[in-house]
Amino acid sequence: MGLARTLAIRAVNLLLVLLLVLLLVVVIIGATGTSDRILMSIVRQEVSTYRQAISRTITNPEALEKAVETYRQELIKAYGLDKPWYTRIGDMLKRIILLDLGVSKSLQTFSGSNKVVDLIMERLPNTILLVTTATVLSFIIGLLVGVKLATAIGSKLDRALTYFSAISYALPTWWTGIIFILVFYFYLRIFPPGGMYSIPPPEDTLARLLDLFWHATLPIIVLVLATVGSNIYVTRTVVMNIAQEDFVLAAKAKGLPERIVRWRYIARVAAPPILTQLILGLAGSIGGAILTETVFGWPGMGLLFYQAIVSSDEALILGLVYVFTLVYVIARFVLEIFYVMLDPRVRI
Amino acid sequence: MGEPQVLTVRKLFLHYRSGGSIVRAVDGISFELRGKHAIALVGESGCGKSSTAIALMRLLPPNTARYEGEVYINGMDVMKLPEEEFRRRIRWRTISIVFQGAMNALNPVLKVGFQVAEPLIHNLGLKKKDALAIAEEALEEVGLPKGVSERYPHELSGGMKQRVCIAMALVTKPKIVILDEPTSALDIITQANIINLLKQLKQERGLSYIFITHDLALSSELADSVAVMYAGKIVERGPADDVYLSPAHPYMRLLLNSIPRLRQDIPPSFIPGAPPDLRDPPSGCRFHPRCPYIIRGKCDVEEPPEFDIGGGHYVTCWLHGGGGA
Amino acid sequence: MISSKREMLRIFFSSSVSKLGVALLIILLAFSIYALVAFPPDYGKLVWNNPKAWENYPKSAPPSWVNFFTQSKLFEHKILETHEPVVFKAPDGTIKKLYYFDLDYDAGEFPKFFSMLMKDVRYWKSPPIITLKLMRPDGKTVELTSFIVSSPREGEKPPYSRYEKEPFILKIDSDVNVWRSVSSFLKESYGLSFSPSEIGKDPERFIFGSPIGSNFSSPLKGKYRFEVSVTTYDERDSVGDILLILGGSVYGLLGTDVIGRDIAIGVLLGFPTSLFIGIITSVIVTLIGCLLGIIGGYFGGKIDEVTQRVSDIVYNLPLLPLTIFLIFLMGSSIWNIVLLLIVFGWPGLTIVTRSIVLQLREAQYIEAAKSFGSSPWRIIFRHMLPQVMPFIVAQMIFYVPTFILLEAALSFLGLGDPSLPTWGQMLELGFRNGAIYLGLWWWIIPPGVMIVLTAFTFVLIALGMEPVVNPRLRTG
Repeated sequence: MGLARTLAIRAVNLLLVLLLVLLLVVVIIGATGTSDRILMSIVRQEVSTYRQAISRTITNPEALEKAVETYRQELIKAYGLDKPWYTRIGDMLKRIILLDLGVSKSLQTFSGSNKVVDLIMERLPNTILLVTTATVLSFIIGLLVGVKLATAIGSKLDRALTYFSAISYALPTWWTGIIFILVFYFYLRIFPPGGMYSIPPPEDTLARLLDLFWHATLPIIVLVLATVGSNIYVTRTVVMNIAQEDFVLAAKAKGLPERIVRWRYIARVAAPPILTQLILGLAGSIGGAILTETVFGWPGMGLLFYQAIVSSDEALILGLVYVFTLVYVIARFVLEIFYVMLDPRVRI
Repeated sequence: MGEPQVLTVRKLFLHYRSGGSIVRAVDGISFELRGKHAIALVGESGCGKSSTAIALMRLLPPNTARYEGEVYINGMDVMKLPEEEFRRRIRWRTISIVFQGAMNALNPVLKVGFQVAEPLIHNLGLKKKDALAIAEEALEEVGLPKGVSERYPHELSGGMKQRVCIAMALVTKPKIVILDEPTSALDIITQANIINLLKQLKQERGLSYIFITHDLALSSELADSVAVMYAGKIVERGPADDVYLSPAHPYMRLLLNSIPRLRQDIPPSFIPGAPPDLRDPPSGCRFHPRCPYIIRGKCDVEEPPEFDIGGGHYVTCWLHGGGGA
Repeated sequence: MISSKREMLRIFFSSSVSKLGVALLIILLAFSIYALVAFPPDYGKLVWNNPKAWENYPKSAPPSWVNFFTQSKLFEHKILETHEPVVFKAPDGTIKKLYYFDLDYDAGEFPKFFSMLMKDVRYWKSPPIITLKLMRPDGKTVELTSFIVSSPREGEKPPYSRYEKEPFILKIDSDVNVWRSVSSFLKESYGLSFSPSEIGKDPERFIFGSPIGSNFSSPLKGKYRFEVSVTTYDERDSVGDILLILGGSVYGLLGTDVIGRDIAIGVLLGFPTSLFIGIITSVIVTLIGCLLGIIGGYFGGKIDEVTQRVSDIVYNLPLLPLTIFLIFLMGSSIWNIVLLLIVFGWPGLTIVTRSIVLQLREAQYIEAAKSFGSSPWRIIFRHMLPQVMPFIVAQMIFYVPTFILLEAALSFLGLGDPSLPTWGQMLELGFRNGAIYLGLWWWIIPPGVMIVLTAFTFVLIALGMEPVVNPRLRTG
């Protein structure tokens, strides 16, 4: 089987995407002087730590200043800040990949660290939780409703769906979120306005889980609404097209039970193109996550991104662009594995 | 001769709805098929040949408007069977089909061996392992190399796929096999190979064929008798030799003249006009607008019945009865 | 395949989806044109984003039509403007100009505030005297205030200009003179004694109310007339606009935001920007994408390989994080936004066009044209483009909402072009100011509905195009 080879080629392609994004980012931040600023802030921080450390041993203020200044110059040399930015491309690439981007100007983790890597790692699971749940839900709903509608093309329900999917596509996730908060929090008071847990969070594990569920409901509904319309529409169209293929007729002629025809000959064949839709929608889901988290104050990477923009936190933004791309590339790879498993035709 | 009739079709109708009008694809056709015989169903594209296959297999699309008639298989009117029983008893076990354009007749995501084995599993209740073994054998019998059963359709050539389809149609040992343009997508050499294979299988297994084709030359290779379809109706039927050598219906005559021949100086002629719109067929005889022998006031008004012109040769044309020629 | 353009149009317009889409598009275009004609291009910078320009407007006021749903009528914000004055000339050369302002008061609440605003006073000899009087529906007249415009400064030469840059504003709420006048009015008319400082707590209550006992609880409804008299001593003396502002708690068609901006104007101004970004980006993206797709698909070889590789990679980038990052570095101007949307937008079309061209290239009539020796470009333009066109147009229309929504999202994240009012930015300000937690729905709903409506319009048209492109979907 060419399964492994096919997957290897896909993996290389995706790695190429990741590397290219990184290179692009490094060149841009280099050319705009952003990388200088980030490195300088790292230098400043190390210098101040150094000053604290040696101030205990060196009491003469002049000598202290001198020692600090020498250390500063050493660091500037070590980080390559005395040379033009393009000489540091390799070094900067390595830093971004390892998320060694120093500290955030404005934000801290729960435990008080302001390192970029800590901040991002603290938020990452929250984003994954939100996006994965929403994507899976949207996919399942899209599949069930789409298959149902494929047998009723042109019916009232089908036409209603056309409008629904148009609206769903036209609805900006974030605005839907705002309206939901207005309705379900401000007027009806049945859902919280945002966040992940109540303040203070419940002690009991089960209560905590329910609290999480309660807080996640609105953002998940919003994310599902944003994608479910096109999922249904694509499923319906793909299934409809496949239902007209000769092999479906052949399967019926073979006397196979309706159930088998529907699942093995229609749904199973429709799965790869539907999965393609999911893959194509992935980038959108990441964008959706940034906006939805911002609106609902969900403490994930998206909200962190927004906070970093608002406070012009360059190092943090840089780290987030990288991690978003990384998460995207990994998620894509996982989906592509499914795809290659589902569709023998793409195996090389 | 001598063989009993395995299939008798009487007044079979299959009409579709299409945007407010009715398409009369199969419009009251009748014919018989003897055991170990092959009948060719010939005619231009869109005359209702494939719809006849659909009607025989009861593979009705959702826009079916009218489906009735009598279809006797071994003396039993299968039209009276309820859907579920028809599916289990008739489809593939009694009558199977090799589809037109083998390209799309196979599920692209399933291995071909499994696709051949499926009817054995679901209709005959065999274990998957046994079914696969039989399928493998069946594939070898149609001349495919070992190991094909483990391949996916896209890994096979057109001719190989067609062989898979044939193996699939034969795996349940049906009495009747419908061949719906089984070679139309293949090159000429492959076509000849497939036809030879079909001939050989017919002889070895005593199969009856309904051979649907627009290729008259090809049909003469395989068929014992011929039924000519025009605009949803059978206009002429009879033993192959009779029909080919002395065609009685003007349409069949013109059709035969339109075949280009090697080593002959007669240029092929064309049938003027186009096949009628099945949504609104012409009155009287459906061929009258294109017929050079039209009897005005008769052919364009009254529908001709089927006239027996001897030797099991029937023709639906006013020229052969009712005071005609 | 569809042969003629007319046939395509017929199929397109046969569905209600397309009809609705085209109707909506015409409405959107009409609004855009109106906005472009009615407002100067620098309105955004000079007026919309200038809080000073909105000082006289109520802050966070709901639309005036909420009065249909409330029991007690809320007072709609009023700005009364100058009409031609009535002029009296005395023999001694004194000129008295009387400006009248009429107000029909029928609200169930008092005005929130009351101020007079005067611009551009110019005099040659003596400073003009200005008096503000109010004639009430009950026939009583209150002289609210009377003052003299400031005298010439030392060394200043006539004409003496006053309130040229900054208008003069008389705020009744903080003007002790007015309170005193009202106090003596109450004494004379009703025999009630309220001290000026008591009146200063809520002067509108006394000016626009009539007492029940000594209680001013509800406004006096009916026709009011304000009189501003300006007494000058020279023919050449002049006064600019005089405005009377009565603070209401509802305003206009769509209310106001926290700065006092008229949301209806903001919504209107959003039309051209949104359509411009959506349409221009999608047209450019289509041109680039299509051209590359056709070239790659038709000529093959090295060019094809390069475009395919690049489009594949760009197509697979996570769009929003990268766009945010780049806009953040490049600065948020509308041109940067359009540029980035183009840079990230083209590959989709290249991939689609290329695959169609590849199929077409094998078609017999193309082979025939080639064998006749037609030039590649002739084949592309005469034989291929007409075939590819419906796909391309459908794709192009489908890209419009995508870009409109992306721009809105960037605006919402605070990366919109600050010199242009956009719906996304209105929502951003609303969100950041907690409009949802305060229930300021009129600030949140209209701009969002407009985004949805605009995107929806193009999605509908694109859906209507689908049967033209995909014959399997045709019904009937």
